[in-house]
Amino acid sequence: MRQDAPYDKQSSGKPFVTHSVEHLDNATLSSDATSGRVSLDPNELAALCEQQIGRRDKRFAIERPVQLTAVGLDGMLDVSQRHNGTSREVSVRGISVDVTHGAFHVSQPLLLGMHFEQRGIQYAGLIVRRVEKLEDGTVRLGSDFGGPAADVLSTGHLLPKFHADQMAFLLPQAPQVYDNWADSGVLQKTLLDHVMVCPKCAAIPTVRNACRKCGSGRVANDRLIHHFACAYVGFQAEFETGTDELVCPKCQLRKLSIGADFEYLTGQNRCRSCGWRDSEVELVGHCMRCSNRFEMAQAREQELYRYDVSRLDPLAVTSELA
Amino acid sequence: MLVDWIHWLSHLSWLEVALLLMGTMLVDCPRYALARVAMVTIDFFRDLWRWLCGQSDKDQFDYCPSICVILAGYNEGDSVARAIESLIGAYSRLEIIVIDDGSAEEHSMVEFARPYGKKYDNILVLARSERGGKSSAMNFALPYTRAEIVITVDCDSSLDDAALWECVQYFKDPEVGAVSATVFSRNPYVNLCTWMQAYEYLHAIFTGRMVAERFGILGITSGAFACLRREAVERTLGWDVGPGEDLDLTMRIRHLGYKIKCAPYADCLTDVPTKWKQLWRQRLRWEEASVVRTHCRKHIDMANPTKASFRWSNFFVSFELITVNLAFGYVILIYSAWLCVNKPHHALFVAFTFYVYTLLLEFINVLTLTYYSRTRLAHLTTCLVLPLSPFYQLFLIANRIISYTREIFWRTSFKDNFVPKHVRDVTWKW
Repeated sequence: MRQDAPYDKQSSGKPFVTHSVEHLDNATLSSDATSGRVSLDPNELAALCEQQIGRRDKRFAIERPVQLTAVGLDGMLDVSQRHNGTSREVSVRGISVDVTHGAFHVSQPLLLGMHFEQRGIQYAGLIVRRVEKLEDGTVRLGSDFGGPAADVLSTGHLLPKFHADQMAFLLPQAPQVYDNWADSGVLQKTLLDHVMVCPKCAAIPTVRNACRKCGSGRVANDRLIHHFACAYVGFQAEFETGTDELVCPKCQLRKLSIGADFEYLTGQNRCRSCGWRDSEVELVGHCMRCSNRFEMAQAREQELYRYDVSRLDPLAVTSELA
Repeated sequence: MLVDWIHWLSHLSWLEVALLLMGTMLVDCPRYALARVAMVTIDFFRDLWRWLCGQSDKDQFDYCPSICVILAGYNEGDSVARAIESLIGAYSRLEIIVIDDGSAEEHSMVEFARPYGKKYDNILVLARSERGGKSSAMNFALPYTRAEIVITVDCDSSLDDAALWECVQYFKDPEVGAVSATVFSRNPYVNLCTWMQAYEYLHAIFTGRMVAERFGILGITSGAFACLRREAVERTLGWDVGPGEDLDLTMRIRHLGYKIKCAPYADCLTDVPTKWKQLWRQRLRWEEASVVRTHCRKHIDMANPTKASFRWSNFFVSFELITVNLAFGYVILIYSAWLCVNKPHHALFVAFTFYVYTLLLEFINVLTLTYYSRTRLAHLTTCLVLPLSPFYQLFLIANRIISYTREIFWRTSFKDNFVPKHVRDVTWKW
């Protein structure tokens, strides 16, 4: 019975990992003076692991209302399998909970919601390690923190990240999982951004001013000159004489100065691929994944959300109780 | 009062009456009355002959050159869509170039015109970030069209269904360089101010240009709706800096030897000012740029027999405007002052004599209009303000005298905000 196992006297409530590393340093590591490498005796390591695994973290009695929700294989929460209970003991690695209803089995992934007076409900993922039926009919679950629910709740998993191999903003789980968790009240959903993505594959495109007809980016502007004095407007070539100075073809004024005598105007755009001429170019996207070319007006708008959760920190809880 | 006037008039001999009205008899009578009577008489017998011969006088739209309509404007975002709508489908070989002359964002023409540019291949929308003036905006369109005929239309104007067909027929004659269409008021009955302008447009543009064309002295095409042969425009190298760029270009096209024709049934409706103050300012701008700047200064060589470009028809274009509008305006002013000082007790009677005489001339105008009009009822309704017409003429004469004086001494047309400052500072001063 794990609940009856003696508390680890040697660790005196220190975190398991810290203690074990200290132990390894003192007892099992030896340095090869000639090679400078650290060597470890396999037999000693096996004995040490057995000792460490067998060691139990310090447990603290904690009696708080909790809510346990079953997590499906697809990562979705099964709210029909949501049961209330009371926590009994907690350590940095696990927690035991008493529940009056529900069917639980070993290795079942659960989501734990623990009520705190000040902080509200805090969530953690659990894996059931032991199911014990008590005399009064209550079921006592011994669980470790972790499992698929903990993966969803982990810090880096709640923000969409750009994946260069996919050329897309993605979350580790399917979007439906996060929506399901948000609908269940576990996660808070916050809109971060809208990004325009390929209508076919939702990857990020590059964007260019391009020909409206063929989508080519090989589009050039006409450059015209407006001579203020006589209102003549013509292509720049008409003003060029082969020397540095510009001469107005209408009034023959020489040595025109930009700003004072003339201004440049942007005329029509010419597509060098298909010969299309128009005053306007179109914003055209080129998908970085599937090479689809599309007008940006047809691009799909992807909403990027971040998710927040009030996460249960076992270390903080045990520290408070210590 | 009326009896006193008749009594006063009856005591004058015919010679005295003739002397009294000499100015108007010499200038206005031939110009308004005789010319119109002659034109109507000739046309009446021509039409009668055609009718007797069984010839149809219906329009034959059998000439269809390619045309390019230029819609250039500044802050005309509200009206450009309406102007485009009135053009789409109105002609078979049509292209439209919209130029936004640096409009402010809230009145951006591009915003309204661009959807049409996307939808129709024959509509091109060009814009520039800073205002450069209407002339250069229209010149901006020229490199982008190969159409045979270039037509300028103001954004606040809309064309009659057959207007484009009407005006291009005249270009069958390769000597025709420009065609003046007819501009009517779109808002004639808003108030007395707009009504008087509607009446004025009927006579000054509809019948007035018909008469001028008959005598070969038509020298203007309204910028609101002007049809120009592109080849002629390119030979002039486009519009010069305004105001008055439409008049100036027409004169330069005449200078090249082209004929200017009038298309009386190519109708264009335009919004006219609704307030007297606005009208006063508009006319100041028009008049400043017309007679003194264009005819007396810039194109005076066309009226000079020693110059190579001299032609009698060109001479009379300038001569008519300089004598009637400029000289006669000052004569009226001086005569009125002389009358008030020397014969103050006769001044009222003389003024009333002029009033009656002017009404008679206007009545001949109305009769001419009635003969040629295709919408007689509407036009005659507009003519109901006829009794007030002499007062309106006085208003215009006063406006002309002031604007000509300002232009003669201070060249105010070169300070007009119609042209942006950075352009008018460096433009050629005539």
